[in-house]
Amino acid sequence: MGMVLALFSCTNDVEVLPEIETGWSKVSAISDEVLAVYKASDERIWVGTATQGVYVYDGSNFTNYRTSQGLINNTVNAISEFSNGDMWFGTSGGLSVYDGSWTNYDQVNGSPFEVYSLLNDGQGNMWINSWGMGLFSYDENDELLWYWDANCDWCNYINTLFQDGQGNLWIGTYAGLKKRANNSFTLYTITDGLPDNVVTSVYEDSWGRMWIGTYNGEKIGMMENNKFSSMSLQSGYPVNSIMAISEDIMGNMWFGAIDYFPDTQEFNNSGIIKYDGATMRTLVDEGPGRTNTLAFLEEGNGTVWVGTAKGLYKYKY
Amino acid sequence: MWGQSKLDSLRMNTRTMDRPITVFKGELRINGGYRFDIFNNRYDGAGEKINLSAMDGKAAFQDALFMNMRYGITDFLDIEVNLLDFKKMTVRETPVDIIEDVVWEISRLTETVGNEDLLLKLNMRWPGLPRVVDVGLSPGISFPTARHGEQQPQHGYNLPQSSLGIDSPDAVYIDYHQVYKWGAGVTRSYLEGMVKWRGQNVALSGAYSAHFPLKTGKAVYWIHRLDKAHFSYRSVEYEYDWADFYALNLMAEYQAYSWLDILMGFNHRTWKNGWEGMSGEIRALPERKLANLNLGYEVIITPKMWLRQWLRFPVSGKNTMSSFVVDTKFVYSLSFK
Repeated sequence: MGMVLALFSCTNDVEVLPEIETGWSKVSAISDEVLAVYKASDERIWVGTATQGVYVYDGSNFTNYRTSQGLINNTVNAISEFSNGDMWFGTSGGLSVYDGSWTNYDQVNGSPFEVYSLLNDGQGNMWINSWGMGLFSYDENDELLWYWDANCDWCNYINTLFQDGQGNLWIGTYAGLKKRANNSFTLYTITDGLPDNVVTSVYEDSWGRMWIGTYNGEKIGMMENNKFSSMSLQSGYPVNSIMAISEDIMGNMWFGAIDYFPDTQEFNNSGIIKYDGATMRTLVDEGPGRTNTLAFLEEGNGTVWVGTAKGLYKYKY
Repeated sequence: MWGQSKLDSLRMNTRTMDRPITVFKGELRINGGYRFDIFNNRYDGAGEKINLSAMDGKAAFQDALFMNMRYGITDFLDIEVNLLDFKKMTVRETPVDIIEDVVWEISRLTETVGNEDLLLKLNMRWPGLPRVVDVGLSPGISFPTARHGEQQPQHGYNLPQSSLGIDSPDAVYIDYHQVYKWGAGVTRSYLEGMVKWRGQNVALSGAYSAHFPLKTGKAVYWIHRLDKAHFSYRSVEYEYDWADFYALNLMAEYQAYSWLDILMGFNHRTWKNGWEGMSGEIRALPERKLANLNLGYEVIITPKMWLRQWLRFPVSGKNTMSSFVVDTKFVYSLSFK
């Protein structure tokens, strides 16, 4: 009968696929605090940690690179891939570039620097922030440009970089949100409707709405049609500030919150807040629970990687 | 056109258990009925039974109207078509209150509505066999009647009058209302093999069927955004391969009287090899299984009209909801001169 059925079926051979394991799982290979998660063009997942350097996941195994392997510093705040395929790592001790071997930069403009954010703009430029030193861009012709805001000291303290669908660059600073469009910068502050001037995360969702995370843990900022507004993070649980924002394939927004003053490492004012398009919900008893949440990577296929103070977690739809 | 025929006398003298597994030449047999399901339990991936109402406040019901027709081309070959299998499944979650400074009342209503796919079958029985045994084979094909997947949701949002215009209302009511369509959305092949053994007043039968998709399909799901009091929706397309479906049906009959047949059955259904994918990544859907024990009877009301009723009880499963089913159908048989 089985043969008859097989002959009758006109389907192509069905590949034997692993069943979906939905829900949360913790990545046991990484126990350190995770600061950045990045998917490279070769599909490998790179994970920056607070004290253990960077891990790379090839689909089956994690490999760890630390200073002993050539990384400049074991605190990896940011990861990006340059247009030539080189991996860049922004650390608390400078910049490392990996192309199979390591090249390190511990100074810029003659000063030591800390890199919190990296952004490949897809036009041949890598944007680099240096804590307290403003913004740099590096292009494929090895030209380095320095963007220093002489009128706003705190604008040179940059937390985050983001590029929207129109190619505009958004810069989250200690003094507001800057937008770079058509080679000019515009600064938006609390007077324009931001919940707070310290901008810690920026994200554009699939509806074209900009989401702006700040030190204000009660509200998340939004910008739509050039108008700012804010939405209450009324999840029933307080948070201190939103450090990471992402959107999953089901249209849910994910907000990663941190607690600056954790009580005995319990991080009572931190965690993941999910917004389903209508309601906010703090994930208290699932996934990593109440812990500092600093990075998201939505793979676009139903997998969300979540970097937390407790390590790396994975959520599958 | 219609009138007394040899077929009528055949039917008049044929008990349920003696009925051939195909219809008689020139007979038009119409089956129609109503079925309802009460979903009390769900089986998880390990086969553990979870009480739906106790665990998450869900209640689910399904109504189904069905009708199919068979026409005997010869005494050993009939053609069968499912004209109607209209179903509506309703899953309602009881409202959840989230209490902070704001009371959120969130209810969820999920409906799956519409017609199942149109199944066209040729039923063949082996000619020349003695009364004691019947063997049959039924190839077929099913055609989609609707695009598979989710329809645009109909969510609702309401603020109490006292909260309108206030930045932080004291209560918010949201009704999530999602609507899905029945059916695979793609053409599928079908094959069933049957065998029946008859004693004096007892008959045993078994059938094994399989349903395979002939191609992959595309469907959409919807994401939403609530902007003030207005929901906006946007669809996201994904690709899928409908799961292969296998069903084993075993039945024992006892002909208590010439007009009453007592039925006991067991069926086991498996769905596997289905997948969904987007952004180039294809991922398998979990295999699902469900087994039921069935009790029923058939009463010959007149030689042309029979009543058949089944009760179905789930006994085991995996990754699926299970239901208690009451299935009632009338069969009307006409001879076509």
